[in-house]
Amino acid sequence: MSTVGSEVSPGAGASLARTATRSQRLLLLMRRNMLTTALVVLVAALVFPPVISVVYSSFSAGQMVWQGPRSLTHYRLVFGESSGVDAVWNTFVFAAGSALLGVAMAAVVAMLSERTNAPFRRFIYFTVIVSFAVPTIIQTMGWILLMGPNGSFVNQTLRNAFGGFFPSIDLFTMTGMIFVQATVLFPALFLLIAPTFRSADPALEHAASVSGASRLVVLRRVTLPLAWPSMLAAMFLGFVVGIESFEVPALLGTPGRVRVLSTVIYSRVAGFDPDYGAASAFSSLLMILTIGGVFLYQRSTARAYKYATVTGKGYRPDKIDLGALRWIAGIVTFVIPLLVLGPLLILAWTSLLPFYTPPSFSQLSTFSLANYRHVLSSPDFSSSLKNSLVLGVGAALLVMAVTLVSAWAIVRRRNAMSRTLDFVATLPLVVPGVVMSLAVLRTFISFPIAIYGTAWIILLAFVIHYLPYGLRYNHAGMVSLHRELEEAAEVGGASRLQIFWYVVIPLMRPALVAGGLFIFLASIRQLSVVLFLVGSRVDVVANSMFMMWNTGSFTDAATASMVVVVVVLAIAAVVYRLSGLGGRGGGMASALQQQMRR
Amino acid sequence: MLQITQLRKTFAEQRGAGVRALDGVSLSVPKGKLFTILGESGSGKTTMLRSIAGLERPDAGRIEIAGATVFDGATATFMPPNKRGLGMVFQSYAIWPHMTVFENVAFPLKVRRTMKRSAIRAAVAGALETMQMGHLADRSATQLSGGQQQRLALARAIVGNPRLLLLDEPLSNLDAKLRERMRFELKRLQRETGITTIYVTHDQAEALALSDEIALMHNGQILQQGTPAEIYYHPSAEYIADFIGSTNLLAGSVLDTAALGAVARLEIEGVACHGTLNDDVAAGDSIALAVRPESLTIVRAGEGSTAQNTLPGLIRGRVFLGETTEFLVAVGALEVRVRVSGPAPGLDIDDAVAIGLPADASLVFRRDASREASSGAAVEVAR
Repeated sequence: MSTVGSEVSPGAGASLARTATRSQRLLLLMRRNMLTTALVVLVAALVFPPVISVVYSSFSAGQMVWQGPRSLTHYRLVFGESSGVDAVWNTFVFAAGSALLGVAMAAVVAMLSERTNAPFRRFIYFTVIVSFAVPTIIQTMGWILLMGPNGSFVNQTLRNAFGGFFPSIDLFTMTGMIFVQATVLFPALFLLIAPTFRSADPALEHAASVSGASRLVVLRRVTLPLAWPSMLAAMFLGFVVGIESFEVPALLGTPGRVRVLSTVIYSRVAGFDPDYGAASAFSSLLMILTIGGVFLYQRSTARAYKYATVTGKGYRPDKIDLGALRWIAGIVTFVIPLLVLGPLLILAWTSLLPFYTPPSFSQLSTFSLANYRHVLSSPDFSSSLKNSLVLGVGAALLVMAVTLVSAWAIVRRRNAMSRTLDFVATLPLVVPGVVMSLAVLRTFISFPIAIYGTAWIILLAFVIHYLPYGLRYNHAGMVSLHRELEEAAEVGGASRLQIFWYVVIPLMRPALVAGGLFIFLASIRQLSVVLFLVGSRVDVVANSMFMMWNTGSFTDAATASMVVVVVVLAIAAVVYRLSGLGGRGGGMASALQQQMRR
Repeated sequence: MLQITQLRKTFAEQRGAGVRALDGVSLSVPKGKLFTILGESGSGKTTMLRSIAGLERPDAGRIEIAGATVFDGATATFMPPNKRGLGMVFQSYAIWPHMTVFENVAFPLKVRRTMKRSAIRAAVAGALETMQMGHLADRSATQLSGGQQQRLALARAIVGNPRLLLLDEPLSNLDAKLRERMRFELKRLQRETGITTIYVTHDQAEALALSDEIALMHNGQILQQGTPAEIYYHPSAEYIADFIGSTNLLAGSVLDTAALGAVARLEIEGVACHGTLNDDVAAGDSIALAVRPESLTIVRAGEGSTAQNTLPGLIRGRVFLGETTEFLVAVGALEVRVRVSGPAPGLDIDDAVAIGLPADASLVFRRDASREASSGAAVEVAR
């Protein structure tokens, strides 16, 4: 072999990179990263059209997306009427209030259950896991039956006890909405906060104790400051969820005339004379609020990581013995989870009655399964249940497949193209469900392929909506997968596809199952994303229960709720067992928990 | 078997010019040899190995394996790793935890899709037998000890009769006892199979013990290539003398080089002595005299040293190491390490002594300016 002299210039690639123009460099980047480039194109084709169409049509004078002159008509209208400004303010108050209350509840329960010997720890985790199978619409309906204005359980009981002296509780107010939303948020926030208390390095506290600090001082100066970043992160997460929330404002705020952006958008579109322009303008405002919230959330989680002392070292933090206070603490650790379970219990009660009556022993004689027979034999309900399950499975599979490959490209190929992919696939995070629904509707209503009115358009909306979540699960899994495991296969002679099939996918199974399960459960709970995409031809369970409620079929809605919860829980349990991730319930909680890590 | 020509690789940094991991490296490895690339972390040795494997794409240069060009910067030739027919053991072992021992070893044969199931079974059994772990075939890979994982990684690397076996610091994750055992094991494996092996390590003792040949890398370049004995006894640069083994580096200056052939007359701490020339030096140059602790002799002052050069000193420290005893001796402003065999009775702290330096074991290096700045004291005693 002839020897090449030392005068040989650096390779073609390097010299090109040095002298090339911008566009040449981009071309080289794309050629070297075909897979990543293809993914960017695919994801951008999914994400950008809906978002752009909504923003664009908010600046159109008329009701069409692309036609008509550009103008600020809709914004002028929105800010012209006091209801528009009110909606923005209400959204903010609702989101901030529920986040604060939710975090307070979650932090107290997390601290008591993880750091003291307060009872009911298993009960807490049980309700948290169950809540992942319970659509928010069900929870909200349950609350109305529990505490609503007319003949609800709580108000009835209060009246029986105190006569007319006690003012009845009005749930259809901002306060009521904040309370209910906080109970809806509690499980997720608890899962986010609990680990910081559980895995706190006890040495940090011991160090403080040894330096002479009392237990209370240690709590105030060491334990809580260490948990603070994760509580802050939970607060911003709750805030974002609150901004986007539709169910609670729709069921409680609408009769109470407390409007937030999501319900305003709904009423503009779902009415007889839809005003898409105004809805788009409200949507843009909602997105701006969300972008702010997501920005704060991501910044706060970055900081929460800095404090993270989770090292897998298996710390067993000291549990404080509360002594006689134990059972007082027990009231808290029992009642707060009960707030999550309570709505389900009243729905279970209602589902057995011919018509809704607050619980009492005299009603036991009227118990029957008639409602179940009625609901289960209804073709509309069973088809919407089937749709929900199929769509959930479809969305989970598609999203996890696309984001598995994306996560691989992002983690293994660190360059401008993969960073672009990360950004674009995370973008849907700032598009609230209601806005996504409107955006997909507006983009595809005149699409050459007639997918509007079919299940396909819902599947598409789900895939876009859950891309960021799937990516987070896969990203976390991929980061913990040592690069050499793939390289060993590569040197061993495996092709890229073989590496994926034999090494990456089997080793990513925990992340794939956890992420897939999360997306499956979330899409079945999902109401706001499907709002404008369902119709007479295709429906999903969350919406069909919403419709039953709106038409006053409370017992049907309650019965449907019970069916949905049982079916979904059963499926989740089976998937979980079969996937081999099983074991204790804590495993499932931590699997679901992963999502919260950014 | 392996021919590398003018290989270059620069890693882009977040900011600034980038890191030159490979700066025009050329080397050639004959068939059947165990060839070690030795260097500190950041020397470019791992980039070198990964470039041979195809896991890294160099910027320029050429790599040929068994006569076939697998990389050529000039023609933009790049053969992907899975086509190069190599075996590699990774620092982390990269044992696939979802497979059994058998499945791990069978993988390289399975993905080639050229062998029958029965042939694969026989080949895997053979590889496992070579590594003396045939009885573990059905074990899950996660149930293995560190040493067994190491063997498994080796079995997997050799099962396909690779043209080259690449080892990336394979012993660094083992404890000291096991590491010494595995050294012998590796040596035996290489001798029995005759596979040309490229071994990357930062551990000079490992390199000396195992290698047929060593290439010493520093800042992306090969400083010296030779047999372990050559590198140990005839280091070509002060850096190598310091890096390999324990070495006294004594600062001094040249008095005279004329008419003495390969020997120079030097002045160290005011004492005239002789050393063997390694670099070209002239009278008046600052030099470092490199001499191994075990090459030095030590006697009580006045007892008369037989050595050609003697330096007077005071014993400052004494450490009994079992087979040897090591003395720390102050010679003027310098500190010199002397190692003698046995317990060395009669010599103790604060005794005045004479140190004997054999001229043929004392190598003269031109003082390299960067090292001079960093080491005020003239002694750098090694690891």
